[in-house]
Amino acid sequence: MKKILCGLLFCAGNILAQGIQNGQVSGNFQSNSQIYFEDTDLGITADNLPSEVFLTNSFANIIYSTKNFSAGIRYEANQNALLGFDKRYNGEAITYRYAQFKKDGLDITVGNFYEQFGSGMILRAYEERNLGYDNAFDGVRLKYSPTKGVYLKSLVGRQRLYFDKAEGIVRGIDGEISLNETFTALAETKTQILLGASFVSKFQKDLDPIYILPENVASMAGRFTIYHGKWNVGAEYVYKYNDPSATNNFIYKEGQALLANLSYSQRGFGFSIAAKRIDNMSSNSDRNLKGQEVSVNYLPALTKQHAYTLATIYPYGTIANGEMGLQAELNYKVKKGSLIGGKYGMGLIANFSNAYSIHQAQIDAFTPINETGTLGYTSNFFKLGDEKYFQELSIELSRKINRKLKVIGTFINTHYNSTAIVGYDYHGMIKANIIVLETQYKIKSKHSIRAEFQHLSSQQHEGNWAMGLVEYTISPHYFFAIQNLYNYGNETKKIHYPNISAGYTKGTTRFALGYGKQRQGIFCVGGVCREVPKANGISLSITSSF
Amino acid sequence: MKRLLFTIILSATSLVCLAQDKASPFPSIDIKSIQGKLVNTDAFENGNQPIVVSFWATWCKPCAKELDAISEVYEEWQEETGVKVIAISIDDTRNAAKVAPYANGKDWPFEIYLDSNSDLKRALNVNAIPHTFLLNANKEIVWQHTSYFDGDEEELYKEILKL
Amino acid sequence: MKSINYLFSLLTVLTISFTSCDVIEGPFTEDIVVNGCEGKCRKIFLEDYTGHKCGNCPRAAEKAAELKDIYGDQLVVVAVHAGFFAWPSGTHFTTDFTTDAGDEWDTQFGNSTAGNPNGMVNRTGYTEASHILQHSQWAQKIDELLQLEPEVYIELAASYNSSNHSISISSITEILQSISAPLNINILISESGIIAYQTDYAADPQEIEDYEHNHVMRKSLTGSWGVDLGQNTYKAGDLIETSYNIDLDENWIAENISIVAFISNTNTYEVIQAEEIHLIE
Repeated sequence: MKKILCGLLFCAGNILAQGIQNGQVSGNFQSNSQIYFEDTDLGITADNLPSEVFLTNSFANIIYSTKNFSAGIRYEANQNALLGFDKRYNGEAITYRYAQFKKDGLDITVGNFYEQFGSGMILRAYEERNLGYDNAFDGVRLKYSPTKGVYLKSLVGRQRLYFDKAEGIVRGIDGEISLNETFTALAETKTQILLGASFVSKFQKDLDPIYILPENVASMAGRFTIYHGKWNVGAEYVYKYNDPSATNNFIYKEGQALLANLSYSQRGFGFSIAAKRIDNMSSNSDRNLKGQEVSVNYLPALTKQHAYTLATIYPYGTIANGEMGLQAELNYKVKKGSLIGGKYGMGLIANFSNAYSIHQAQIDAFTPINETGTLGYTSNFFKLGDEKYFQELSIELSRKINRKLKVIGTFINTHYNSTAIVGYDYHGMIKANIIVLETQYKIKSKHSIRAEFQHLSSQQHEGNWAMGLVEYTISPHYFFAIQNLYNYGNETKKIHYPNISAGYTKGTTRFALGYGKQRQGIFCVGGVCREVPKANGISLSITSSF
Repeated sequence: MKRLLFTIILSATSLVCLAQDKASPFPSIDIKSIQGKLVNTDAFENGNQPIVVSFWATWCKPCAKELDAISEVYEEWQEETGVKVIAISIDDTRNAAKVAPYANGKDWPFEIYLDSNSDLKRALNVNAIPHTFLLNANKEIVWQHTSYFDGDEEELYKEILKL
Repeated sequence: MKSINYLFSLLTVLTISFTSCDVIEGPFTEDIVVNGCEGKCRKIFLEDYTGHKCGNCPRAAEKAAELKDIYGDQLVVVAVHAGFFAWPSGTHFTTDFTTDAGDEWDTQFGNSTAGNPNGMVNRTGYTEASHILQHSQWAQKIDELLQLEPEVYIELAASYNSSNHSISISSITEILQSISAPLNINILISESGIIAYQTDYAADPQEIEDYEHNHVMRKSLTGSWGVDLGQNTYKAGDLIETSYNIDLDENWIAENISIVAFISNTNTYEVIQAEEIHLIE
C-alpha cells in the first residue's frame, strides 16, 4: 500500500510540476485599514467609536492560467469591515473561485463569474470593491461563437449575498451578431451594424399565503448599434414581466427601460448625447431584499462622474422605480497656435445631465398609486413626471501655460433633489455652484507640485464649503499631500476637515498612509451609492500585484 | 519518503521560480474595439516592437494625465523605438458611449479598446488604475506600474529603451 | 465542430424551454384560509425591529397591522425599537423607545446590523442563521408555523391599580404535550396609540409629526432572556404559575397598555407559544 501511495504521489507531483511549468501563476492583493479616534468637533464620542478601534478590509486573488485553461480564487478577510460597509461583510472566507477552459470554440466557466448582457440593464454581475458591491454569479456560463461575428452566451447561477448566496436562481441567454463580420458581402461597407437580444428569467418559490407571486420572472431585451464613419448610434430596450418585490412595494406592473445614445467623434472633437427612461426596473435575485444587494441588473446613472472632492458632495444615484433623463457631453481640443488655444492648445469638456421622475397615473379611481398587490400605476411613455431629481451643468477648461505650468479650471452648477435621492437628511432641492482651480507646476525633472482650490456655494443644506489641497510628487515613487475642507457656510457648526497623506509606489506595489478627518457623505460609482460615515483616524492602504 | 519529499521540493521550487519569472505572457481575453467588434488580445501586434498597454477610464484623472503626457511625446517615442500604445478603458455602460468622443476630444493617437466586463482587468490582476504594462517583442509583460505621478512617463520610456 | 454546434443549440433550447415565464392576471391575492381556533390555540410571536428615524419601517408596521387583521388573536405583535434609527436625536425624535431587553435582543440576533426594518417570527431559524425575515416573508412563516399543534398554553390575567398607576400580573403556563427541553417565560409590557414623530420615505414631508406607534415594547418584566420555568422536562398537564407587580411609567397610558407573554426554548431561543391581553378591556 505504502509503495502504491508513494508511486501515485510521485506521479502526481511530476505532472503537477510539468503542468505548473506550462502555466502562469499571478495574483493581486489589496488591504484598506483604519484606526478610529474620538473627535469632539465631529461629535464622535467613545460610544459611537467601533469597539474594535482598528478595522480592515482585505482581499487577495490568485490566478493560474495556461493557454486554454485558467482557474482562480479570491480570499477575503474583513475583520471587521470598515465603517460605512455593511456589517454582514464581517468575516473571512474564499468568496470567489472558478475554473475556465476553452475547447472546440466553446468557452466554459464553472464557479463564480461576472457577466454583462448588452448595457447591463437586463443583467449585469460586477464588483466595485470601494462600494462593497459584489453580486457575482455562482454557477455555469457557456460562451460560443458558431460562425464569425455571431456570439452566444448562456448562464445559470445564484448571486453572492455577503458570505452566502441569494435564494433566487437566474438563467440567461444572450446573442449578438456583428452583421459585417458574418455576411462577408458587407465586410467593407462604411456602415457597421451590431444587433443583440437577451432573455433572462429568475426563479424564486412563492411561499406567501396572501399574494400569488410569479415564481418565474422573465425579462427580454433587444439592442442595436450602428457605426457609420465618425457617427455612432445605438439603443437598448428592456421589458420585464411582473416582478412584485420589496423595492417596488409588491406591485404587479411590468417594467420597461430604454437607453439610447448618439455620438460623433473625430480627432480633436467629440460629442455625445444619451437619453434613458426607466420604469419599475429593479430586479433582485431575492424579491424580499431591498437595496442593491443582489441586483440582477444595472441601471446606469447618466450623470458625469466627478473626481474633485467638493464636486462629489451631491452625487446622483439611479432611482430604479422610475426616472428619465438625458446627458449631453462635448469634448474639444482647441488647436495649438490658435488665439484661444495658445501655444499648446486648450482642452474643453462640457457636460449637461438631468433626471426627472416618470409620469404616474392611477390605474382606476379607487386604487392609490403603488398600492401593494395591484398593478401599481400606469405611465405614459413619453411624459415627464412632476419632480425634477437632478440637473447638472459642468464646464472644464485645461490649458498648458508653458513647459512647467498646467492649469485646469472647472465650473459646475448642480440641482440635487435631496428628498427623492435618499442620502442626506435635508429635504428639498439643494442648489450648488462649484468652482475648482487646479494647477500643476514642474519644479524640476521628476519633482512636481500640484495645488487645488475648490469652492462650493449653496444656500441649502450645509451651506458653503472651501477646500485647498497641495500635493508634492517625486516621480516615480513618492507623493505627499495635505488638504483641508472647511464648511464655513454652515449655520450651526463650522468644521474643518484637515488631512495629510503620503505614499510610496514601486512597480505594482503602492502604500498610502493618511491621517485626518473625513466628512459624512455619500460615495457613488455608476449610480450605486454607499454612505460614508464621518470619521477621524489614521488610514493605511496597501495594494500590489504579481 | 525521500522521493515524496524530493517531488514536493521540486514542485515548490518550480512554483516559486515561475512566480518570480519576469517575462509573463499576455493573457488571451476577448474585449471590444471602439467599433464595437469583439477582439481577442491575441490580435494585439506591433511587428515585434514594444507595446504599452495602459488601463484608464473617463472618470480617472491621473489616467488622463498619463495618457496626455504620453501623447505629447508619442511621435518622438515612435520614431526612436516604434512602440505602440494601446489604451484600454474599463468604463461601464454609464460611460462606454462617451469613450470615443472623450479620447478623440483629447486628441489621443492611441488604439482604444473597451473592457466593460473587466475580464482583461481581472486576468491581469489590476487593482487600481492607472496601471500600465510594457510588452516586449514576444508580447510578454516585462514591466508594469500602477498610479501616475508627473514625470512617470520618463521612467516608462527608460524601460522601453531597454528592450 | 458540428457536434458542438448541436450541443450548444440543444443547451440553449433547454435553457429557454425551462425558463418559463409566469404572468399573473388579477386578482393578485389568494383568499387566505385562517383556520379559526377553539380553545387552546397555537399563537405566533412576531417581533418587528424598527426605529422612529427609519424611513422604510412604516412599511413593516403596515404589514404587521395587515397580518394582525388577518390572523387576529392567533398573532401577537411587538415592535422592538432598537439600533441606530431608534436612538433619540435632534429636536423631533426626542422620545426614547428603546429598552434594555430590546437592545440585548438586537445585539444577540443582529437585527439592526442587517438593516431595518426586519423581524423575527417565533425566532425560528436562529441556529441556521436564517432568523431575520423581511416583512414580505412574515406571512409565509406565520402560515407555516400555524400548522403546528400547540405545545403549551399561557393564561394571563392582570389588574390595574389606578391610585398608584401600577399593575399586578399573574400567568399560568399549562403544558399540553411532553417537552424535554428547558423553557423560559418572558413577560413584557407594550403600549399602542403613542403619537410621536416617525420618518417615512414614502410620505411628503418625510417626517410625520403625528404618527401612531403601536405595539411598542416598553419594558420586560423578566429581564432580557426570561425566567426559567424550573424543570428540564415537562409532561402534559403540568402547571407553572408566576406573578409580577410593576409600577407603570407616568407617561404610559393604562388604556393603551397590553401585557405580552411568550414561552421560549432556553437554548435555541425558539418561541413555542405567545399570549397577549389588554390591561383594561
